[in-house]
Amino acid sequence: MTQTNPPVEPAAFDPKLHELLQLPHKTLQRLAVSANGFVFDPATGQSYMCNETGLDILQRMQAAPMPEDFINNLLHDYAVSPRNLERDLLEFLGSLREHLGV
Amino acid sequence: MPQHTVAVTGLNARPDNPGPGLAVVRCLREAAGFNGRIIGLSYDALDPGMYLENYCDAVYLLPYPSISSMEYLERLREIHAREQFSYLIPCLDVELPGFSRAQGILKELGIHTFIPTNEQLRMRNKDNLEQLGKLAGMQTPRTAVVTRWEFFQQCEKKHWRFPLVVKGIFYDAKIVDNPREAEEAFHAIAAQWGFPVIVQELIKGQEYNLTAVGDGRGHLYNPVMMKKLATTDKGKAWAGVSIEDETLLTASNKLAAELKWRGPLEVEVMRDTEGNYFLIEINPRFPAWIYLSVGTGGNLPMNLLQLMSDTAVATVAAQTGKLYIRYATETIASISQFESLVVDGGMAFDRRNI
Repeated sequence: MTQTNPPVEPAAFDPKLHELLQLPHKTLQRLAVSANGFVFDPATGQSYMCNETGLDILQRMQAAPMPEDFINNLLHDYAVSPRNLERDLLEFLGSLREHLGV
Repeated sequence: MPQHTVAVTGLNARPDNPGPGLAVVRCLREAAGFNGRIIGLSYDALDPGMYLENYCDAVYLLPYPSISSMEYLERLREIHAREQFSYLIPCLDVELPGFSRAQGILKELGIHTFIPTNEQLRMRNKDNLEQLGKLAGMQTPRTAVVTRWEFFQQCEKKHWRFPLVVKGIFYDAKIVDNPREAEEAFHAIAAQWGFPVIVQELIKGQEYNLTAVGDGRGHLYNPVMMKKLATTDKGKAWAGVSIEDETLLTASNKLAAELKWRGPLEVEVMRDTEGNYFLIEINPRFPAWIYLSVGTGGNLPMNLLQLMSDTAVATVAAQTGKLYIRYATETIASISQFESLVVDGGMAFDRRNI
């Protein structure tokens, strides 16, 4: 945490990442997220756990509207290379979409 | 609210497949403003609800339901003469056709019900599922109405793929993996519930259910939805969580509007792994998990009583994320209570100190 990476042009990331980030805000807002990472989806009845990082990302995504520099904010705040961030986000968002059924 | 006397049926409560009656009584007991009497009606002297003093003021045995039989009606008249109940909430599928046909007689006795018409009951029959699915705007699993066990010897040639679900016309469902198991299930279910037997393709996925009360003009009062989290061997909910599923709600509203549903109902759907919804069935009564309506901030049995007594029904949005978990426990009764039920067909409890 708290490592400052230089900003990266959005176009440098896998276009799939931008696509996966386009989750309906209403869908994200419906999630009940507790401080310890327990997530309940009242539309499907599914519940699941997020680790600390996942919880932070989910909470950032729930903020309305999601900041345009969302990815660069993560790069700024986490000690992670752009490639690793891209890989981890793709995995996280894929899993989140699967849970949400979208 | 005036002091009502309400009769409730279906106090059977076997852990693997409980009737809804006890849960309905529990909801009424906990309803704000309800201070009436509750008369429990059941069919077996060992139904647990007959012995729980916190629930009913008096309990009576009925002969098995077939309201066309003089015996059943005579027994109902006898209990009514003694208890003067003004409202009746039938909780078992098998009772509904008879009570629906006997509306005139019940009215003469001064007994109010709020139940589906015979036409509505016919429409929700398990052998009419495809038509019902069209009304709901939802797919249905491939279904066949079967009267001969030989169906299972030929069904694979007609592209039926095991596992299948073999269902009774009123109750019971067994998942079968091959023709031999299917034949066994067919014979067992037909012996208990009669013909026809319903065969359905198995939809794998999550089960979501909705319960509400239809006002008979196309509106559903206070729907409560839940996802099953654990089931018994018979597939009955053992634990669940309240949810709000727009697809299930929309389909249920369509059904209520099309059928002008009158009274309680339960809509059961499956959501497969691709997110497709399938209508499984409609039950014309409250489900055994109806206490979740109290858990989520409403009280559907009380709403039903309000409709029966021409009292305004308040709209309540059910809270999501409420979990319910069923448990089995024992009650202790005296042998003289058992004797009262077996010999006299009923007994009363002194609830003054409860």
